[in-house]
Amino acid sequence: MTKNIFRLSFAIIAALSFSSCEDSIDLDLGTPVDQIVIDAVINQTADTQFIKITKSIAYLDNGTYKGYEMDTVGILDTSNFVFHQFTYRGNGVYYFVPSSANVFKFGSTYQLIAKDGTDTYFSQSTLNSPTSIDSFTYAYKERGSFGGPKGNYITLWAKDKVGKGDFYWFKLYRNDSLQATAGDILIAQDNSTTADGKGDGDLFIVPIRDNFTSRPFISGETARIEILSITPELYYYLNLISTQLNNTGLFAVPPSNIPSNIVCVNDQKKKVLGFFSMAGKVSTQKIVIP
Amino acid sequence: MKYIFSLLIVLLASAGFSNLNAQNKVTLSGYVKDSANGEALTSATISVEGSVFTSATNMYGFYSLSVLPGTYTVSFSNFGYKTEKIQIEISSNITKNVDLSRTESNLKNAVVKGKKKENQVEKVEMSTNNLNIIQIKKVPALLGEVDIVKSVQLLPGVSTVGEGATGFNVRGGSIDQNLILLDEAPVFNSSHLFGFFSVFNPDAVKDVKLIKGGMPAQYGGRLSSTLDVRMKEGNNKKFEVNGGVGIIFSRLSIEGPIAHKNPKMKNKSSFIVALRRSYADALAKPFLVNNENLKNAIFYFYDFTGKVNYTFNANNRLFLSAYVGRDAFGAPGAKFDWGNKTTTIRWNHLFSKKIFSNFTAYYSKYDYQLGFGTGKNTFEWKSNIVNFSVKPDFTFYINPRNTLQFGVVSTYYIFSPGQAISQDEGSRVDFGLPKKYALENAIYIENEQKVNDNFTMRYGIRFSSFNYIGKGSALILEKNNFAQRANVVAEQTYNAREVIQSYNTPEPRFSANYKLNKLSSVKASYNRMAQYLHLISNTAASVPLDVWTPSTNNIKPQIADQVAIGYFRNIGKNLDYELSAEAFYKTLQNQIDYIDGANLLLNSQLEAELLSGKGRAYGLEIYAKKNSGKLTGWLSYTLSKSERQVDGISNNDWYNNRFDRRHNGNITASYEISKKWSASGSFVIGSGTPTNLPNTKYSFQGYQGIPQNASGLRNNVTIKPFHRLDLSATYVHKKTAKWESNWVFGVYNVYKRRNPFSYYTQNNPDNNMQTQLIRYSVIGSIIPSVSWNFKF
Repeated sequence: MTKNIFRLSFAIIAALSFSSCEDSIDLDLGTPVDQIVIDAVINQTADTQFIKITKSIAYLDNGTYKGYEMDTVGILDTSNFVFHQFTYRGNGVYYFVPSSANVFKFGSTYQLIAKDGTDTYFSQSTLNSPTSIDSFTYAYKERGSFGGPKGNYITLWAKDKVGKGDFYWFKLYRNDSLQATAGDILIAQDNSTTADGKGDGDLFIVPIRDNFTSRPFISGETARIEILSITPELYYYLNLISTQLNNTGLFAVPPSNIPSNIVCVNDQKKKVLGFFSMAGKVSTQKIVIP
Repeated sequence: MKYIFSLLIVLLASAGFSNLNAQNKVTLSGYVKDSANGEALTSATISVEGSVFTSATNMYGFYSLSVLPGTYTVSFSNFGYKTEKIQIEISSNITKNVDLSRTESNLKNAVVKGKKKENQVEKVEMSTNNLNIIQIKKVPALLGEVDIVKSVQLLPGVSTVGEGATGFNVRGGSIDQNLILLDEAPVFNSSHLFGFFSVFNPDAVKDVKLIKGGMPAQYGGRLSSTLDVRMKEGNNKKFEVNGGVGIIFSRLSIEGPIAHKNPKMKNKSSFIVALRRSYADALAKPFLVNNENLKNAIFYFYDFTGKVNYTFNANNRLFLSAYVGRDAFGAPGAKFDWGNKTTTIRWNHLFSKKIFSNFTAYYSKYDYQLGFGTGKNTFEWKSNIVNFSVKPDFTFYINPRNTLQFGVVSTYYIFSPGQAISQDEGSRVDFGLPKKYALENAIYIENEQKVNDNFTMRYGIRFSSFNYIGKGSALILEKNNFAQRANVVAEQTYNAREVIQSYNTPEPRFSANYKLNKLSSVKASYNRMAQYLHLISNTAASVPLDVWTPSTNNIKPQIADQVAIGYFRNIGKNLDYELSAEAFYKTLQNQIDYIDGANLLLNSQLEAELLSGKGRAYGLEIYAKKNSGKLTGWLSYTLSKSERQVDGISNNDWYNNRFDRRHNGNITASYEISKKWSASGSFVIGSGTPTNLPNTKYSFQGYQGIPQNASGLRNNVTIKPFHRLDLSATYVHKKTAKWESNWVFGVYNVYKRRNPFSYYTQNNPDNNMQTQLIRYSVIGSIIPSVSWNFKF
């Protein structure tokens, strides 16, 4: 949000006589070390669940991430000790088809277990129940709330769950494709963005409920939003990703590494990237912008 | 520390004792002023011929000198003024006020024989740079706007993280470690437009002093420097209007005597008001009509400076000064504005010919506000820091060998870290943070002693005490050593005025000057400084949103110890070159750092995300200055290193600070070609600052290019060096007794260098699957300018 106003201010300055410029350059950033990345966010629905394991690559390498195959990858249900093994499909993708919804139960704790030779990677997370959605609307606006041009904008009418300490992640799908640029990460803590928000159980506040995109929808496009009830750990992790991906311009902060919640149990020094979390999911209807 | 105390007591007692031997002496005292406008002259030298004793005027132009009764030739001199030699019979205490007239530097006979130079060799002060407004106005400036802070950045030991950055870094310190005073009131943000211009209107400024080391005991509260900006008092002889029209600002200042036609009021009272406003918004409007986002944008900044003074009688004088500055940016549905306000009342009182006192009371406020949304859906956020202070200071001119300064200061702070209100279809949610309160007190005493003809010492102590008080609450934290968020164990609440945490710091100060001969001296100094306020900021350049926080039970006061040694020499046929070389070593305690991903704004548990570390900085500064003649200017070079060590960061090793610059140099020169034309140039060159960059990347849940620094080292890459040449030429269009005007033509960044301000990484905006490294240059092309200035 503050970024927007800085961008605006700097657009103004740039529009005047200052000639700030941004040049893409090449620089020796030191020898890269590839690290294992485990990407696992699992929900309670009957949809096919995925875990992705890749290796990090040199920052200025614009090739693709290489998949990484491990011996065993799956999720252990600590309430009944059932191990749901994921099947390798290639390119680092592992999948699991639940027999029905709620194979993964709200309130239960799950463990990620990934075995790679002698190494075992481990993490743990609790599945939170999702919130409910009142309505999902769109309206023509002369300008977006955050400086976008005129057009159709969407608004999500949904409330925070009663009780303090709920965390949410909103994912916008435009034409069934996840909007995943740096500016698209939208998360909430109760109904706002701070721990001491005083609107527990209320509608998500303005900067959240209509801040899904600064690019208005054009006629014929579809829109759908998923709200995931996530763990506080994943909230902070996504917050760090958002900070790192939006860390540009005059007011950039020193970039920092994002700590993972996955550890290598037999060798604590072995660094692993990525995150494991369970998340209760609810989705809006898909609406078509007329 | 105990040893230092005992030593001080002995020294101070001996100063008092020597007073007993001086009972039969008489005192010559008075004020030294500019004959043309009645402005007090600071640091003017008063010397008695046939005696080694000299005195200098203080910041109000007052001097006092004790001698044995007799008839003396006394000379009054000041840089840029004709020396007055007056024969005075001093049989009892007498007052002698002297007006000095300016030397016209563009007269052919520019060098006045026997004129005293600025006496750096004589003075005990070191690590100090004085700039008067005439020198500052000669420095080529961005868009032709004369700028105090940008001129200060050209001094040795001073650097900045980049063009357009707010503030400045002194001897490896961060920007919040500079105490910036405008007529004694602290200014918390010295920038307009995020740092492109400083908040001081040059038409209202008399002189500027930067103290980097050997800090006098009267100053305290910041670790690295004091920048003392003094406003003009206003012409008390005649009305004067100064103004200018530039690309960014228009300026107008009016000054003059008050009711001077009344004979009782003659030379007793004067005023100055000065106003600047940017009009870039008006100029830009035609270019923005087609830009959907910007066509209704607001952007302007202004500042107002005003001051009046009144002389009641020979012993009492009152000054009132005020400053208001504001920057405003916005567009429909969004606004952002910030600014400083200060008010100072000062009363000069002479208890006797030997005891000068000044009582200051000031108010200072910095605030910003930010708002989004329209109608029933809005979000508003405000933050400010307010402080009130009273500060009596005394100077006791004991005898020609000893001058004692002492005083106290008491400051009350109110911090409002963030009031945030979200209006949601009329329903209001307040998620702001509570206010914080603090009281800071200090007492100091310091003596300047001429031990013999060649050796002068200044020694003293400042004792500061800081109380973080209620109403408020204290977080009890359980810290870890891994640079991760601390656990909040408990929260304790306190009533109004209840002390939550106090800190006391004795701050010894010492400087010495040993004259090797008439032309050269060596100096040494030690000082300890304590700082109880902290600017919470982890950006490369500070932003107007940054919040000041007091020391609390979790945030310890910052402490610095600095030693410096220096060699000073005047050379040249007319002694018009000043050379100096200084080396310094500084250690810093309780430096604030941040956990990865710390949330600094509107965070009630901010203290859990702060880390504390050590710092050290050392370096060598070389400075050469030519003060008079057709060619004037200076050359400065600094070799320095500034490091930090914080547990949990960079494998617990020392790492280079973000504002560490190994080499930093510049040449600034001005040449008077003829009566009509003069030219100035400034060339700056320096190594780059270190920065943190990732060397690998990965993806998570569809988010691409998440950066990772696999080396784990902080500030692992050094930015490329910078250099830039700026030129300007001044054409005096008309100059008569009643009207003066000139044109200033400037070219900034003559050879179009794209100096890197920072490097950052991002996903390619045109292809989210790709990543790139961006060099951000605040100024990337030649910036020409023209401005017109007048005076009548």
